[in-house]
Order: sequence, then structure tokens, then C-alpha cells
Amino acid sequence: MATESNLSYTSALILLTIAGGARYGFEIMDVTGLPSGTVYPALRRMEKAELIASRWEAEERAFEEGRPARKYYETAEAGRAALDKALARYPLLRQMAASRG
Amino acid sequence: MHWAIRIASWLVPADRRADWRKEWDAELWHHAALLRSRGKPESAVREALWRHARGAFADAAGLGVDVDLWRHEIQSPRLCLIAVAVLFCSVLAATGGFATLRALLSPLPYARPAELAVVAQRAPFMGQIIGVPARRLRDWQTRAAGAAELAGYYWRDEVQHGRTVRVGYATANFYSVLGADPQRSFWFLSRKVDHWVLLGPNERPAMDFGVVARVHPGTNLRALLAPRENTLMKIDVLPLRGQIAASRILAAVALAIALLIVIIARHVHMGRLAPLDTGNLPKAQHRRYRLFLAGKIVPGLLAVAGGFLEWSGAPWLTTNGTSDFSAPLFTWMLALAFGGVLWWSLVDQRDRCRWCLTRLSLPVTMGEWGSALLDPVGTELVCRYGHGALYSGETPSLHPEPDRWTNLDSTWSDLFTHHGK
Repeated sequence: MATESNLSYTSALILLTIAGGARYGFEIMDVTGLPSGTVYPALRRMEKAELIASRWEAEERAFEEGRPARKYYETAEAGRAALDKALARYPLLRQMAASRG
Repeated sequence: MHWAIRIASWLVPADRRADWRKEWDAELWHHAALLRSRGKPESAVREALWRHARGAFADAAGLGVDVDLWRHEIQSPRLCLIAVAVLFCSVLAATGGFATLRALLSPLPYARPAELAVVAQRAPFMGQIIGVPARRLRDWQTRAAGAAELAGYYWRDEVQHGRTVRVGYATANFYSVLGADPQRSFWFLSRKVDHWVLLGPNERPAMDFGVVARVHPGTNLRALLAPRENTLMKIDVLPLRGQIAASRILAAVALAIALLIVIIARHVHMGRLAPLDTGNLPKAQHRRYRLFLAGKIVPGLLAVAGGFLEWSGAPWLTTNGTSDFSAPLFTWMLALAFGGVLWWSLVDQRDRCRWCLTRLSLPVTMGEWGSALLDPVGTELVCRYGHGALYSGETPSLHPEPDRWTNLDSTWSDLFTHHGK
């Protein structure tokens, strides 16, 4: 039986950001300061690992606001558990999470 | 920037392409809208959007491949050993099976090789080897008659039929002096010589000669060739076998210099290069870890030595001053190359799990920069399979400590996901 570590620091930061309320790719980039070439592939990997889930917002609502629909991400139950473990590993993220309350 | 998204979308599997493009188009729209709402000039908006759109290529490429599998392969010891093996085999093939290196380690292919010597003429002050003009060689041959036979040689690159070849030129008695069969392939100081041409008695050489001599036992050839005119030029008569032995010693010296460089560098850069702290590793794992290190160092050093000797034409042995490199420069270059192999091997070894030899990852900074004595800053790397962690101090000048390897027990398993394997 081998074991494999779950989250890199960057993935944990993105997961923490999603848990903190950022919901779509560009918003996560804006909050974390990470480049698009890092954020989107990390979102795909975490979605594949079922740490996060995605859904399209309703087209009607986006149309009413005069913008294209967004693809929203939210943490799944496995993602919350993984985030707890990652916070135990990464002290800086733990501090960030604590400062947000 | 939507054209970049369109191009990148070709990398996305067809069944996901429409959804992927829809998300990226929307993301760029929102980015542009936010920047414009903040009053950014159009040029800044375009630049930011281009930076944003570039990430689409990494995203799209990642969808077509299993990134975790690639990461696993890249960090595995297998890839490292394959890379070393490919390098080793490439050099082996390119050098005809390390021909020059083998020649240096084999008996000389000449009759009574103990009688052979190379005669070097050294310039005053700096002592560099310089070629011997044809007139002087004839004078030497006359003076040594009955006690030694001398032959001259040189080689140069020529273009023949549109191809650059290295042609060796030698005096007519070259083969008889060497005691070598010209019909057979033989090796003389440089394997790079494609073929030899013997000069006729009235042919003028294009360059000054290097000189090889067959010296009869009991002859003091150096005294016979000593300059008669008032000159500071020095003559050295160096047994060919001694030259070969000296080249082996110089290779060992280059290796010793390399080791010294690595040891000094380790002390200057303390803590970064203490690769072999294996904690309380079982004997079998410990042996495996050391074997892996040897598996990188031995082929690496052989490839460097074989490649360098072949590429340079063994300048330790040439005596007509036509070598591309001087012998001391070559020794230093070889030492640096050896040092590079040793350094890379040790640094790579240091960053590998002592159990499974996978590259360590997930670095975390520990401690406080402002607390050098009580809680010094260090970096901790862990094995992604949960076997252990390596702590490396980051402030060696204040708090010198070597790297520390800790085997992780089952209480740490919460940090790692389990999957049957």
C-alpha cells in the first residue's frame, strides 16, 4: 500500500480561496495573484479528484446582467477534508485561514 | 484574444471543447470588464488579457494528458536512471566505445614500447611545447644516428570531397620507428586522425613536427639533442609509456580537484549538500540509496572522461604544439566537468526519498526569519508517498546544521491519501 500526498501548496491556496468565497476562475486569479496557467489546470485537477465541483450559472440571470454566464466552483466534502489536512501541513495558509476567521 | 483561445482549444479533447471554450471566453470577458471598470487604458487591458489568455494553452494541454502520471514519472528514480543511461550510451556510441579512453588504459600497440619516447621542445619562460622545424629534425636525426631513430609527425584538418577530415603527416620512417603495421588500424596519440600520409624526402611539411623516437637501451637522447647554440630552449625526452601513465595520473588529479571543489563548495554552502543523511534507515534501504547514487556517478564520470578525451584528442599526449587545448587547460576543464557530475549527483540524491528514491516535493518554510537562534528558518520537503521528510536549514552561517532526514511513521498518514498500489 502506497500513500500519495494530496495537495500542493498552490492547490491548497486555491482551495482555501474557493472555500473563502471566490467562485470563478478569474475571481480566484484576482484574489490569489496566481497566473491563469496555474489556476485553471489546478481547478481541473481538483475537480477530477472530486475536491471541488463546478456548475454553470443560469443563462437567464447572466443575460439579465448583460454578461456571459460564469462557471462556478465550490468545495466538495472531500475538498474540505483535504483542506483541513493541508492547513496542518502549511503554516502560512493556516495563518491566512485563521485571520479570515 | 479569443483567437488564442480558439487555437488552444484544438488541444482540448473534442467532447469537452465547447464547454472549455465557453468558460474561457466568459473569463476573458469578465477580466476585460473589470479592468475597464477600474479605468485602465485599452493598451493595459490588451496586455493583461494576453497574459490571461496564454494560460489557456497550459490548461488545454493539461486536459489531454494525465498530469499526475507525468509528475509521477518525472519524479521517479526510473526516469533519472534512464536519462543517465541514455547519456552514457550516446557518448559510448559517439566515441566508438570510448576508444581513446580504452587506448589509454590498454598496452601500447607497438613493438617494444618501452623504447619509444616523445621528444618535446619547450619554449623558455612559459615552458609551452612548440613544434620542431624540419631542418632541426634532420639535425637531430644525424646527431642521434646509431643511438636512436627519430620520426616527425603532425596532423591538421583538411576538406576532402566536401568533408572535413583530420589527416596525419609523418616522415617516411614513421612506421618503422613506431614498430606499427600501417596496414592495420592503429592508434597514435590521437584517434581523431582519419588517415596518415608519409612525406617524401623532398616534400616540405606544412607545419612544424612533433617528434617520436625509438631510443636504444642505455642512450641518453636528451644529452645528444642538447642545443649547441646559446639558447634557452629546453628539450624533454618523455617515455611514451610514461606519458600514458602520466595522463592517467592527470585524470586522477582532475577527479581529485573535482572532489576538492565539491567538498569546499559544501562547506561554503553548508547544509545544502549533506545528501546522505539517511536517519535510521534499514540496511537494505540504505544500500539501495547508495547504489542509486553510484548508478549516477559512475556512468556520469565515465561519459565525461570518455567524451572529453575523444573530443579533445587527448591533449596530454600531443607534443607538437598543435593541440586544440593546452594540457593544463584540459585538466581544469575535465576537473570542472567531473565536479559538475559529482555536484548534480549529490544534489539530486539529497532531494530524493531515502525509501522509494522519488524526488521530494511540497516544500514548506518552517521557523521564523527573525528568530535565528530559537526557531531558525528551514525548508521541509516530503515524499509524496509519505515515507519521510527532509529538513534543510536556510541560515547556515548563523546556525550551521546539516540536512535531517526523518522517517515518517503511521501517525503522519493523515496527510496523505491512500490508494492501493
